[in-house]
Amino acid sequence: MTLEATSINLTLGGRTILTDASVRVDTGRVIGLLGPNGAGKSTLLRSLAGLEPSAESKRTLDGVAAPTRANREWACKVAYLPQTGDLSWPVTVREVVALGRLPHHTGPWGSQSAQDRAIVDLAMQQADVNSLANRPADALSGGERARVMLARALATEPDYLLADEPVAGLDPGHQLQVMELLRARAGAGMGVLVVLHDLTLACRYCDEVMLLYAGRVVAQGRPVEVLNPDNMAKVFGVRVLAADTPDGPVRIPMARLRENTP
Amino acid sequence: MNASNQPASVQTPWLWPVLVTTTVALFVASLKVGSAPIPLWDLATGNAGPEAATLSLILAEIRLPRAILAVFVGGTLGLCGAVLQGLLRNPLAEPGLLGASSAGALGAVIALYFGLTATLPLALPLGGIAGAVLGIMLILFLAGRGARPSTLILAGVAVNSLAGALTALALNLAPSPFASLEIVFWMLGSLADRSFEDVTIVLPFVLLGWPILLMLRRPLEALTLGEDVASSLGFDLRHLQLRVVLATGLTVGACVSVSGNIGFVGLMVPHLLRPWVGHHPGRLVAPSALGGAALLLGADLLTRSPVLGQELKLGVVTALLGAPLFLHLLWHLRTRLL
Repeated sequence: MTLEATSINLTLGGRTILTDASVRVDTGRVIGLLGPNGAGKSTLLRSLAGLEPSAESKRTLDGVAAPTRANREWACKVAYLPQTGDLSWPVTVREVVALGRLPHHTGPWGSQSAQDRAIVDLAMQQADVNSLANRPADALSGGERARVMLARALATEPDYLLADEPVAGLDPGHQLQVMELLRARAGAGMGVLVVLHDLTLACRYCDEVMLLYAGRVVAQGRPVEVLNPDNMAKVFGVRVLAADTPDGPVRIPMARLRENTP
Repeated sequence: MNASNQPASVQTPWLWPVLVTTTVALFVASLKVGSAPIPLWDLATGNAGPEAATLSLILAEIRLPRAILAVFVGGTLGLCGAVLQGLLRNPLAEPGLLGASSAGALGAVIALYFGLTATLPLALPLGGIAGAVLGIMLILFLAGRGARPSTLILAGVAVNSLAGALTALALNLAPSPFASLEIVFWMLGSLADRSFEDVTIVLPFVLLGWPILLMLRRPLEALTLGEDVASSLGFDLRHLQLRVVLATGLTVGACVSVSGNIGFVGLMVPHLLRPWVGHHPGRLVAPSALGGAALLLGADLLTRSPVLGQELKLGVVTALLGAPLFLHLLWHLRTRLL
């Protein structure tokens, strides 16, 4: 099964954000989306999630065109995890995670079944936020909140997860834990598109990476090949240390090659 | 297992019993208390003596419609406050502060004093509804859904001032020489001297609007996580906004056309109830209807307090109760305001 958006051109306020960008996620795979700040990663992810109105018509799921308006059945299949964990009211962590079950309920009331509660519990356990369950979610640290929001997206049990920088602000242990979790979910059949800034994590946990630069997809393929020193110099303007270790490949930015991005 | 791992009791179990009991008690008190206290029990058992007929008349024609209207108007304001706060993700949103009520009053004033009600009996509520719908649309146009609290409040100030000034102007220009004396009623609201005719004006619109508002629970829950996530959870926000504008317009407009502009109910009720539903914007909606009814029944009883000698306007009582809370909320939100 495949979720894709093809040939997206997007201009916001006179500025070109995306030029002929295509993105494709297959179930069972983890796709990394990398590129400098402002390259259009979030916009491409949002386009695939159906949140950029001008790109809506270009989305398909298994060849079926996406509806132009928010749709419950699609919401059950495609979960979107934004970078900012907006929260308007001080509800508990468990309540936030349970919001992920909303698309599965029909009718105006939608009370939770025992199955819903079990799925919410599992998602909280996998994102390691079980111990926070009854805390108000607005009183958490940035990294804790990011994991709560990830649990919320997982609680939907989507076929596809579109995650915008899910490891930003996480401590090293939790960064590895979240990447392992995404891998495990992909192993169980979920398709994952994940925006990352950590080159090593991208190398080690993604099946494929896309490199975005100034609104264009400039490289795509196996992580170790795409994230080579040459591409890193061109796209990020950094010299990287590329090495292989018993635990897998590493890519560490060592020095800037230019003073400022041109 | 430590204590924090036990399932959270997010909704207080006694919330509904307390709300229902309070509302019923205040409703009964509202029938009893007034310039002529009515011994309900004696009346019901036939022991009221020679005044039974008069007392029954006061009960049926004056007290009962007034109490029913308090339930409708208070329920509407509480309900709309909870829904608007959920939609705009802002604890300061309510029909009064946003100007929907005063815009509704303006519409009703135009319909009433310029002869429209003479030709079309429904002109009064329809005028109120048209005004309220325009008022809310103007707010959403000026501030938008994602507005900061300060922007929203300033937009409310603008709509309130405009609607208030136009109401005063309309009353001055009205053919009836007494119209301008009624400005106090429209600005501050009252349930005094209302009849069953007023109940029948409000009833159809409440029956139409309340179910729409009560069924907005799930999209409001989803909006807890912001508009993008709500949309990705399958909720069409334009459709939601349309339903909120229509349903609040219908109910607030119709209510204001018989009660005048009663402020702060929609601010106070959701704020007071929020901790008891785990701050959950969806679960807040239904209790806010009952809470609004109880609050307005209570406030209306206060207007009839014998201590004051003369009957107060209902809007004065709700403002005296609500304005301090408004200041308190502003104080706590001040870091977010700028």
